[in-house]
Amino acid sequence: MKRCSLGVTFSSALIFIFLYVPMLCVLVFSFNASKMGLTWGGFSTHWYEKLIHNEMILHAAWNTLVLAVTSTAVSTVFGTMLAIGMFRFPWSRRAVGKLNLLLHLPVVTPDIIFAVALVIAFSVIRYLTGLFELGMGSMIVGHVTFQTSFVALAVKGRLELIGHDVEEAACDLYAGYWRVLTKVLLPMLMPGIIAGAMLAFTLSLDDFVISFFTAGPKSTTLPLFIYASVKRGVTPEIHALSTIIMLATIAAVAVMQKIAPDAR
Amino acid sequence: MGLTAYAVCKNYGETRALYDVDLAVDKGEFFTLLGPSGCGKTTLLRIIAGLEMADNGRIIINGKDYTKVPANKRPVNTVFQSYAMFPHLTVLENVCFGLISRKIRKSEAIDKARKTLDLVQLSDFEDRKPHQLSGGQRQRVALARALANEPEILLLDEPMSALDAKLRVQVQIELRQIQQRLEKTFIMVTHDQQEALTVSDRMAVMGVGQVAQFGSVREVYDNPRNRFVADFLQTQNFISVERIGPCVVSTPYGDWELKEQIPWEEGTVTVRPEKLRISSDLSECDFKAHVNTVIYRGCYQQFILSNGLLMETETVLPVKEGDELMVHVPKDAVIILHEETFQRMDVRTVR
Repeated sequence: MKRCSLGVTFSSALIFIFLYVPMLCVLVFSFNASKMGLTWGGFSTHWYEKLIHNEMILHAAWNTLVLAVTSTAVSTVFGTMLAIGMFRFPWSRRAVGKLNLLLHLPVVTPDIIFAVALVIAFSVIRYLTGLFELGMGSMIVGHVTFQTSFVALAVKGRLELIGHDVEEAACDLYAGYWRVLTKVLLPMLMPGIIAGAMLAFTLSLDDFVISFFTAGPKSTTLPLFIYASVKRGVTPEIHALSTIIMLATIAAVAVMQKIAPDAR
Repeated sequence: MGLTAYAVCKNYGETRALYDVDLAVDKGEFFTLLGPSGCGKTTLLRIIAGLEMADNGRIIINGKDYTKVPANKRPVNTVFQSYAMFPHLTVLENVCFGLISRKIRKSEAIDKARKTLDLVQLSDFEDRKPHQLSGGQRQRVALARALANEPEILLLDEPMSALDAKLRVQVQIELRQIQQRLEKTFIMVTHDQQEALTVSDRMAVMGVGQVAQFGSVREVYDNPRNRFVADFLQTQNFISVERIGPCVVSTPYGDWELKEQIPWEEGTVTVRPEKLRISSDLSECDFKAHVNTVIYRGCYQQFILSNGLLMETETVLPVKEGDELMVHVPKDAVIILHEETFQRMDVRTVR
């Protein structure tokens, strides 16, 4: 085994400290009994108790979860279909370039522009059809539009790694399209699909800008709630909320690492 | 019977991969498509497999027309160059895949898969995943996976290109033995002439999108028809000559008598290096030359002669660089090369 030099160990330790100190601060202050700022008033779980009795927060948490789960489910299916379609169909080289550009645009477009565009699109549709009142429905549609690209990119990377060979081998071994898809393609794509879905889920979970523009009066999510309450000052209650979200994320990552099949 | 391909054409945009190729493969023979990369041999194989559709022409397998039939409904199976294992399935599941696709009962499929794994001597590995196998083992799983389906024709696309040289020779022999035991039609694609000679009954040497020559491996090896085939089969010595009699040519090394009538006034003949003989008899000597370079090859030697010809000896002789040799060119060693660059297989006679 090759050992790292002291310098390398030291600098990587510094980087980890840099990354995690802010989160640790939040964790520590969420247990602070004192309500004001930086003074330590003793250990307390008071804020957590207050948190779970706060109807508004619970409602926002529920909204966030519904939004993230639904939009992730939809965008994972769409993104996977899009990636497979782009990969399988014998597009000309020029068409591939254009399709790739189209796929990357939602990723690189600033959220704020995307959000404004969505608001305009929704109002036009609303004007024409009377549908799409701003609310959970419009938020899900909004999230799916940007998540799909991320999922498709993750799945496409995996597809390119797999290549056409195995698919051809399956065809050669008498498999029809459905069998190729369910027995060969999807199992082999699973790491990419899971990675894409996780990315989409976290993107939806902490999305603020698009949610802000497309939310209706009853569909406040946690980021929107935190933003609104921070205007009145950061309370330890927010720290407690942040800590819970953080732990939930860590748990999710750990679970995913357990269940995701190895990449080979 | 076996396989007949009529006038198969394939274009990729502007590039023509296959020009009107005819091919006839008999039932039960080991047939090889030999050619340099880019000659269209793999394209032809893929068209037979149905992984690619020909722009024109017909594919007949055992008397039935499969031209428009998709890959998953053809009675052929392929061993891919990359093996294309299903990495998420075990060896046994890989081998069962085709059988289960055809709705064969699971227990029966497993039985058959086990028998096939036995044939390639991999019975102890059925629960492994492909990434736990060596290259040679993976190659045999690929073979078993195709053979388990008892295809009318087994297609092999450069099946040994990923193996190291020593293993390759062993696998070639095994492959040949399996083919003879099963008496199945095998069609293999390779760019390795040694491999083609080792395993096949007949072969077709392909040039750019066309068959340059076909025949039994001996016929083609001993009598390459044109410069392309001769070059590809490493004949080495190409000599520009002029005809001075019905069976006599004038070469830069003297006048040589040949075994057959010469069809042109000026042209090229070729002599394999191993066919040139060192002679001690002056009356038999066709030309004298100094040895420029001696290449030691273990059980034989190669000499590069002062006149540019290359010769090979059967044994290692005490010849030094600078020695003068008397060389005899046997009559039947000289191969007359023809102008035309491709040969058409007569597919009707086979049908």
